[in-house]
Amino acid sequence: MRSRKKHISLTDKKWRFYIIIALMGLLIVAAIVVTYFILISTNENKSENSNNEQTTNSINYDNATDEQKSAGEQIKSQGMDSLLTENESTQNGKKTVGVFITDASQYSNIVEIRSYVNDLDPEGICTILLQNGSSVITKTTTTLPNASNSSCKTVDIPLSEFSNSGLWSVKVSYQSDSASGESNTINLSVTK
Amino acid sequence: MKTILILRNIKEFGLPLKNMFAMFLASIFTAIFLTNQSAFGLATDFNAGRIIDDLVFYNSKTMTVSQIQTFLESKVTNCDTNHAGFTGSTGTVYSGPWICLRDYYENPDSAYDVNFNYIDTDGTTKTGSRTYYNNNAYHYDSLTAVYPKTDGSYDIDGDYTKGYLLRAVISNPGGTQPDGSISAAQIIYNASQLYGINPQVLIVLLQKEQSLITDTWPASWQYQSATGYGCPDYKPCSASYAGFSNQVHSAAWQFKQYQANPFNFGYIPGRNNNILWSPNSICGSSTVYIQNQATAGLYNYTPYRPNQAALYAGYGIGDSCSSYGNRNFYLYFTDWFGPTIIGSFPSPLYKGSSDSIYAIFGDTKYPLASFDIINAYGMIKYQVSIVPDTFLDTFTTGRMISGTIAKKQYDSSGTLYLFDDGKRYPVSINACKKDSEGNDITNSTWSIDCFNSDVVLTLPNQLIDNFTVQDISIPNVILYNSSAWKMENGKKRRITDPVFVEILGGWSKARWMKTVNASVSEGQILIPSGSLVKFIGNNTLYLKNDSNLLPVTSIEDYFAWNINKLKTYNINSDYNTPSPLSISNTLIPIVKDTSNKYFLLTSSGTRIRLDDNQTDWPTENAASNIDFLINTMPIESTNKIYRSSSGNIFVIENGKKRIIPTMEDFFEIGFKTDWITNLTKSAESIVAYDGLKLSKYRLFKVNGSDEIRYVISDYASVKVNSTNYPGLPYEKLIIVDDITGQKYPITGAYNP
Repeated sequence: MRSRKKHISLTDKKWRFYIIIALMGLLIVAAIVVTYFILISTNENKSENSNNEQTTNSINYDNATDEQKSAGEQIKSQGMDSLLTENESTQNGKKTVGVFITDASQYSNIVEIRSYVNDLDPEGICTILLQNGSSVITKTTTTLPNASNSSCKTVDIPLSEFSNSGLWSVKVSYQSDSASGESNTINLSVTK
Repeated sequence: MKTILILRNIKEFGLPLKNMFAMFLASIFTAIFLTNQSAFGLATDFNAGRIIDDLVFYNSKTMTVSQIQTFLESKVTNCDTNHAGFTGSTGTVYSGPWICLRDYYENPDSAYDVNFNYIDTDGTTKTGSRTYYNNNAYHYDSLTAVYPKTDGSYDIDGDYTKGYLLRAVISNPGGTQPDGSISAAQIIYNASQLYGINPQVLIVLLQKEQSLITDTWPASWQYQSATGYGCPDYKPCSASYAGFSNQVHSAAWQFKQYQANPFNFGYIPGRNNNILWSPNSICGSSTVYIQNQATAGLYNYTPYRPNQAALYAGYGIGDSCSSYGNRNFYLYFTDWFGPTIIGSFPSPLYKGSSDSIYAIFGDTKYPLASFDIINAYGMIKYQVSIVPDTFLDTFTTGRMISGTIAKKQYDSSGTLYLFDDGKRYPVSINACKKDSEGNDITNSTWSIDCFNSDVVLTLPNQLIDNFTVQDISIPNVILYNSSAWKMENGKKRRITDPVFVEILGGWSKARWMKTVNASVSEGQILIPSGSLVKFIGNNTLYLKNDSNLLPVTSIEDYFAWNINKLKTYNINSDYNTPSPLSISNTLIPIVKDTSNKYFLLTSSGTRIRLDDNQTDWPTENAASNIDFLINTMPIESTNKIYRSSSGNIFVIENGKKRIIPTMEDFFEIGFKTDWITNLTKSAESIVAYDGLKLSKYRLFKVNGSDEIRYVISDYASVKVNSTNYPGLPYEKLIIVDDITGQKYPITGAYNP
């Protein structure tokens, strides 16, 4: 009984505490060692990658990574869908295409209007409408093809054509034989 | 057993064993995750306004054909030719065998007839033939092709205007390469060289648009729209641009268009631009200041800006408003070819392992001769980026920029500029040494060899336009080293009086110049004519005429001729050292005006016109070019009887002076006092002495002789043998010199 009691005392709280602490220490050391090797391995890759990043015009002849391949697969599937899917609304027999104003700002003595249209018809015409109260300025411009859309050729309007300073509304509309569209209206501050 | 006990005890102690292991594993995974997050795939360095630098984008010399081929092979080590087919979202079934880009060949220049087997709508296999224009032309002899129709059936005859070859079946793998065909690598390379686009850009474009670089089983439609050119969003691609070569060349051409006509398109550099986040316009847009042309080109090509979710997703998916085209361009490029951003924008300065610093424009690197040159061309404020020599090696070495005279590569006006401290000064013809026909320009300012290509550099327009500010036409007056200088015949002349600056156009036309231009040799110091000059440390006073200094040695002359009223310049003698002003003869009273008339200057501040043929006064040392002085002097006549301030009264005979010894002689000769012209001593000093002029009846003895002589005429005397002859004025006898004695030779003896 005494002996049992003594044994119990050895495994009692104090003894158990030491063992647990030791085990936790071992686990922590193990975790550190494992993490260390992971980090070393990662850092080697990172260092390689970093070297590549810092070395201008270095060509990476390594195999494509899984990430890159995977991204490629996504592109592939998206590309296929976009190639095959007709997703256009129509209005009056014409396709409705998006028109987007990329900039309408005053630069010194000119007002510059830039925009593009989601169409690739080389015959398309962009019409820029600027309005301030009863004052209206209208300009037309041709399109220039991009890869997936057409830029409305930049329109520069001399400040002298503006009747007054103030907030002018700007809208760009587009017409071609097969498509039409118009942008949102944005505001342009003109200072004469 | 003991272990079990311990473990049990642990459990008993209250620490859940599973949880401890979970913590252990979690700590490892956390470490891995954090490490990976910092190492791979994130586009957090993506700069929306500067996705890629022009220098990288337009560097067409980064890869050779073989390097491109090797690269393509490295990305697809095993082409999965027989990969299983799949069913697309439209229900279309796609099947191999597939051709990888590394193995792809195409004849880009001519139509190519291909015989093929096709599967008819009834399911039977038939043989057909069609002509492909810039189309897929695999290095296999025949193809089996099926085209889709909008109703889901197949168009076997090929409504090829749609441009889709959905299935290509290799019937003869390993067959011969079609005549005239070239590899994909060669096509990429050719387009890059033709349009001046980095082939790496085209490679990345092929990957970002159709994943053709990494795809181990690409379908033919990926080749048809390889660069996405002519492919609007939500709409089939245009058949006009279908085909691999067609696509690659069209894309490269398009990027060249952006560069050649930067301000015509929707997105331009140097401006704020609104850019949609994604094709879904509901997601809105943001404003981006696009810093360079290459980035503007990318947005024109793919008009969407990746949002934060896309950037944090690496190569993965962001959110519903994410777009990936420009993000993937950035990621693929940096992973495969290094940084897209080189140097410190907008600095054009680069340096390799050598000491040379280059300005890089387009595909050419221009060595810069010195920091002075860098400063002259306005680039001193920019950071020099240290880059590997391999990077520099991809640029053609241009001519060293060692001079400051240059013109733009493309400028119909052909204007020459002088560059200094970031300003450019148009060179006017009067700054040139010669005109276009080789004739000397008189009174050239800078004396620039304007028509000598060894002197005039031809430099890229950007180098001139982007870094220097145009100023006034090349200045005649420069400011340098705390002084103003007049440019004259390629030399600089120190200006001593601000009046020169006013005469030469005023201070507003004068410009500070740096040593690189101002270190031209010094010409003569510029001092106004008609002024007095005194060099510090030298007591001589000089009268300055147009080009010479005339020493003024007589204080009497100084006052008599109103020289004292002229402005005096006290000049540091060092200023006159580099190109000394010539010093002429001392100022004398005989002067010549600009019409070659001679004058004798009197002590009264008047002048006497000397006859053109006179021989009285010596004119060989006459002071000239001092009209400013003599023109103010009244002209008077003379009876040619002169009195100098020394008191001597004299006449000039045969160019020499004859001094009248006494007033008794003066009157005895018959002169009157109001006939006398007063001169300064300097006038008397310029004529040689030729004896005294004695009056008739003058008794004299020659110095050292006891012989008494009696003047009987202007040219003779007689000997007086007695000291007691009545009537002779022995008390007025004078002693004369030998010269005088010789003037009156003895012609006999006095006979009382």
